[in-house]
Amino acid sequence: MIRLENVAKTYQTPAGPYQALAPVSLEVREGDVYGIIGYSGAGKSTLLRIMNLLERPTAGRVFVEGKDLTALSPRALREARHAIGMIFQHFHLFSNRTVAENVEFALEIAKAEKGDREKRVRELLEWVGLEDKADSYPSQLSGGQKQRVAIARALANRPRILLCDEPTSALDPRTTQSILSLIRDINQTWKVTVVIVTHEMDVVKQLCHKAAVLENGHLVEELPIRHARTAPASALGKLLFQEAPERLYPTEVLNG
Amino acid sequence: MADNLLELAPEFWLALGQTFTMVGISVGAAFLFGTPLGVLLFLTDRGQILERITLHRAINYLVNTVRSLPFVILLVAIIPLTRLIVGTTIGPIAASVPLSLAAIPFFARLVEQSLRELPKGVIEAAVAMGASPVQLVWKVLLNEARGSIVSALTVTSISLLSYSAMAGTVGGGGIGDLAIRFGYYRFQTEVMAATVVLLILLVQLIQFAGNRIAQRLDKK
Repeated sequence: MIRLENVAKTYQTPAGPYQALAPVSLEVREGDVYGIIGYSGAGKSTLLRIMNLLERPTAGRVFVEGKDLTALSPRALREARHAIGMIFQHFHLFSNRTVAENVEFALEIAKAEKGDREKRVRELLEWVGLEDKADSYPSQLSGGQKQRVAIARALANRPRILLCDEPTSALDPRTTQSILSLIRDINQTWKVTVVIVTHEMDVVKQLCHKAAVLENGHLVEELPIRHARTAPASALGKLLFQEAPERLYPTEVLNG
Repeated sequence: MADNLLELAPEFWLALGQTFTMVGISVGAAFLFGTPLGVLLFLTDRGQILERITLHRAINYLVNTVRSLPFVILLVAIIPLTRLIVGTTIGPIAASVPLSLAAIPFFARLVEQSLRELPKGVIEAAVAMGASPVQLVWKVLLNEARGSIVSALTVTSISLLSYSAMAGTVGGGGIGDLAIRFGYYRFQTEVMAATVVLLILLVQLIQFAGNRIAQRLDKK
């Protein structure tokens, strides 16, 4: 679904070149929830943002559904981006647009018909449980509600991929749970491939099929999460499997 | 004393009309040309979606140059240009040329600043959704910054009201010209005082209206 081939990112700083991401190759399989974990500054977000070319890698190629994004024209890249949803830690809603207009934005720029847009907006807001907030502005919403709007907006064009950049890091534990189950739903019901960056171990344990561990811009290992025999080598990976997961989470979450 | 003012009532109306003409034209020009210039200034800077450093520097330099000229000097210096554009250098229309020239870069700079204050992530979210540069400008940048752009327009209008008094003394007419001709040259202090009161009222009114509109537009 997503294949990175030797992508690397180096920034030119006044103090000399800084390597944010060492050459990395990985593949996210269709239908998976793929986690990217690591401490802050490890290059997690950079890696995620390379997947829709918000960040252009200084080397390597990015294949999404077989298409090399790095080789596309600006117009073709915009076209490709309609099929890749993205949500962020701080939601990034348009503050001068109502909830409904925020969701509609994604449809407007993809040039959807006016009538279809309205229908789709209603459908999405109902699905995230915010149909009564359609005419509210983002400043009138709670954090969890804002993330729901952002999710509705990201899914408006029925993307096959959803990129999540620390989607629950600004939320309280209870809201985090509701957003996580929404993301799980998206993955299971709509077969949307999800890539999720987080520094919260819980998120990975609950949601992911596989996780990449990043340290200082290096991909140190890729771990299958739902495997009993996974033997992590990295310190962070061990931390992830430190406790018996059954004790922490109900089995239906783990099996789901 | 009051007689003087009553006698001058027609003059006041005329002067007020001239002031409105000068401020109206130049604010219009600032909005019409300064907005795209400000957007361009913002979008061509390093790290922005239309990054063109050379173009950015050129516009930046141009804006700074015009803004570094004191208005009185600009007013006189561009007389040939004024004559070329309107055919005369006398009257409120002619005075609107230097006023506009001063207002455009001023407003462009304020627009650029308004755009810089937008959260970077919001722009990024739009780019991630596949918004084109045109869609980004119309649907995101200008829409998200609309409150602060109206505030910028308010500041610009008030500056121009004050500049227009200067332009008036060089043949533009308007309230400033009235104050100088009667209040200063003819020692009619009450005319001077009346002008000052009028200007204070005007500025209050513009600021009040500007604040109200900006507040209503801004949903942050």
